[in-house]
Amino acid sequence: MQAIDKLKAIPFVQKYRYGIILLSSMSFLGPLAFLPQLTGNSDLCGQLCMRRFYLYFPGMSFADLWTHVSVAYIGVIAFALIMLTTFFFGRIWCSFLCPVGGLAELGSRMLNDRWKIEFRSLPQVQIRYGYFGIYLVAMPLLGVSACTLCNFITIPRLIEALSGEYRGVVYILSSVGMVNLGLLLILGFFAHKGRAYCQFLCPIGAADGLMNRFGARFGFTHHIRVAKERCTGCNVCARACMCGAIKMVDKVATVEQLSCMSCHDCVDVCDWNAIEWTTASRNKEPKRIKKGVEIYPEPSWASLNIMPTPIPERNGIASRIHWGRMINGLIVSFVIVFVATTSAIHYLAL
Amino acid sequence: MDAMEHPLFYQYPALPNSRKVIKPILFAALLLLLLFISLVQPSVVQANERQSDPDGCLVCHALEGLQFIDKKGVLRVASINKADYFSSLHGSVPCTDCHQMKTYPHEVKEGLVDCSTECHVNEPSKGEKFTHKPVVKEFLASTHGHGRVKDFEGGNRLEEDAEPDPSCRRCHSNTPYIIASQMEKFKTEFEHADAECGKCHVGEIWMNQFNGHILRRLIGSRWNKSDSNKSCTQCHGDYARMAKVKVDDPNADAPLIPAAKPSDPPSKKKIPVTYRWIHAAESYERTLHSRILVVGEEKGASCLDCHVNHDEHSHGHGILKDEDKKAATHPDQLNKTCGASGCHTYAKNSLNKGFVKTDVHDINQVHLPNISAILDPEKLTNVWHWGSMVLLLFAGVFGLSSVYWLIMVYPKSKKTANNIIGDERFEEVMLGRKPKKAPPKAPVAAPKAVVPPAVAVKEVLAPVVIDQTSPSAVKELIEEPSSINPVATQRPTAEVKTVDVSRIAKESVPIMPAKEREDD
Repeated sequence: MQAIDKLKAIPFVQKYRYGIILLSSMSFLGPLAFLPQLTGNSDLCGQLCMRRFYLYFPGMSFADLWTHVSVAYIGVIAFALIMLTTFFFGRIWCSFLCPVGGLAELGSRMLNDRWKIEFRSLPQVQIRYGYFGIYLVAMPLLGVSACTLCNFITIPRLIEALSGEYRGVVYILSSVGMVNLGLLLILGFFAHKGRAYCQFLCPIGAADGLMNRFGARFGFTHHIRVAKERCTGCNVCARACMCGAIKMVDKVATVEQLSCMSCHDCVDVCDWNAIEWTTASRNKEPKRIKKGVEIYPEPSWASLNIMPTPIPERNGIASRIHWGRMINGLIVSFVIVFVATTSAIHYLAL
Repeated sequence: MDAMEHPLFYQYPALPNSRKVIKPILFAALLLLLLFISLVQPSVVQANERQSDPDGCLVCHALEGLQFIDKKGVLRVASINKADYFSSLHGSVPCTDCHQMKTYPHEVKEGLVDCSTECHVNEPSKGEKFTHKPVVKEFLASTHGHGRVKDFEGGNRLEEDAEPDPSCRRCHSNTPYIIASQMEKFKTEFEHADAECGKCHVGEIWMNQFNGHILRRLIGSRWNKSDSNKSCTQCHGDYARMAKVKVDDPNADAPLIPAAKPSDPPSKKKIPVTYRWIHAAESYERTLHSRILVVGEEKGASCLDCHVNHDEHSHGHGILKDEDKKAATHPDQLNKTCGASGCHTYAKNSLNKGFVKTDVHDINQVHLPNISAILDPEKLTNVWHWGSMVLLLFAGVFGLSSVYWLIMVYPKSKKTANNIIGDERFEEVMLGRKPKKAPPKAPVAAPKAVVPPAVAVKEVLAPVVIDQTSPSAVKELIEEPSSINPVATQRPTAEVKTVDVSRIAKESVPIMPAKEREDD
């Protein structure tokens, strides 16, 4: 049967990943909610919440931050664990474990491509961190704390609604729930490869992306790395990447580490073994070589291409504006200025 | 020499004649021992009787079987267990301090209790007579102010249950006995006290005093926020009862009703409360404030945390209506209430006005009695559900048009699997393919020169260089593949002969080679 053949054709690591996502969904979400209940609390809000404790309310003090952290302590511990594993292994929480992103992706893969929107070529970094900046500082000012418009809870409530819990039905039928359901459809099921929510709106994803980029600088961590000399520029990895993190630059695949989720799709399709989830090359020169043995250099696994396309300069001044970097700068300075201003108003006024 | 003579063997001097000395020594020791025993009693501490019953009430009331059936047919028990009363919180208070009666023997209807009386018990730190008057005063000014604060007796306990407003007795159980919900805790603490403190402090009288003064307060202070919520939900969780409540019409132009006595001011008309008011306990249960308390963390907010003013003069009984300007839940006071220490202290900051607008009693979370309630505007005072009606309408339109497409349009279409939108941009931006029509936006990457299939163009003038800023030029059909570097032709000063080839293109060749687009 065609469906069975298609299933058989899925690469091994992807089958493994889909299986783990399903297991994880069954463990985190109702009706079992097995993992949350291990902490004595099956309520995914409150102590398990991973998205509220880092919000900045204007005029907040460190004591307030401590209150938030101590109420959501399980979420803080989970968040810290996620950051730690991302540093060493890439964003495997997002790609292997997260029930929200994972179910959206699996749902999307069941639909034909003709129903979908291709989001991967949008300027992901700017959209993601722009939204993250607004989420962190501007939304609390407007009275929208993370709970009011929570996207995370859409899938748990949807599962609850489908299994009969009234709270789930109330959520889905409310305007907030309907908008979030719409987001789930547009950015999840009807997105090409299904991970547009993860890449654009998820605060954990944004923080994870930063940690991934930071971890990729170090040679001892496992991230998706490209061996330039092996890459033929055939495009297959860029098409397969579910995050749209791979871009062909000078006919060589370049991985945007802020967006890469270490899902291993690209590695599975590369015939040339030019891309791999690995640490950097060691290439230690041995002091002595055994007779009759040849030591070849390892492929030069590189995760970061700093300045892949240098901006042409004239007399030391860039000849054109890199709009992407300008927006990145604006986002960072917006957040810093916002926090500084509201703190100053608070401490000077009171 | 033998051992006895060795210099290291010390020879003690001989004792005097023992018989002469031992008797007086023993006698003195015995005397000392007796004196010691009599004076140093290691484990007995005497205490005074808790209160000595100055009016002799317990002469009759401590008798068992002092009971009768009153006019309403209720069995009234007037026997008091002395030990239990002395162990209670009021064990130091003489009977007549609360049950103020004048004649002896007294009628049943005498001796009514007023919670705001002063006792004869002097509060130790200031030496003043202890009284509940400030609390009663605050209570009478609160929204529960029509509740009973005096004329308590055993007989009107049943009447009190039917009264809409709570009395002191409704929330504060004043039985001389330990109430059932605290019994377990009391037993554990009692055993502990008996085992540890009882090593020195023995005697029934002392234990009674200890139980009354210390143990009660110890158990009482361990009341957590969930328990304190229970005292509110006794009434506010009974929705049938709450549905009968009527409040003053808050509307400023509501008609006034003249009072019964002409000298009294007219009162506002009373209207029944809203659905949101009735189900406030239920909507609170859905919030995180309650859900955190339910799992045992004290970090949530109980009813009292929000509804009671937090200034230092408050006694905790002054719950006012939301419309009252001084109420803790009035919009003007919310930033102070929400910003209480240990909670959201940033709410005091004037920039956080949006934060205090969160609806903590969101009625939309409450289980609706029946599905038609969705259409009842009285039940739902929020626009979210109306919004969802509109969204359902759009969903219906979308669904019907999808069905139409599926039946009428799809069978005839080419069943290709390209995305609805975004494929071209993906090719250009991520893969570096040259765009089909528009020139590249910026040379992010040197685009690969696409070699077009060999094309016969009917009218070709001298070799032309394409002017890339002209939107009508179709580059791929004209350029010679190897010799022209597209980037190099951007020289603005080059003299070129430009040819508008769109007309030719349309006539002669297909614009887009179909094979170039690949599936995923």
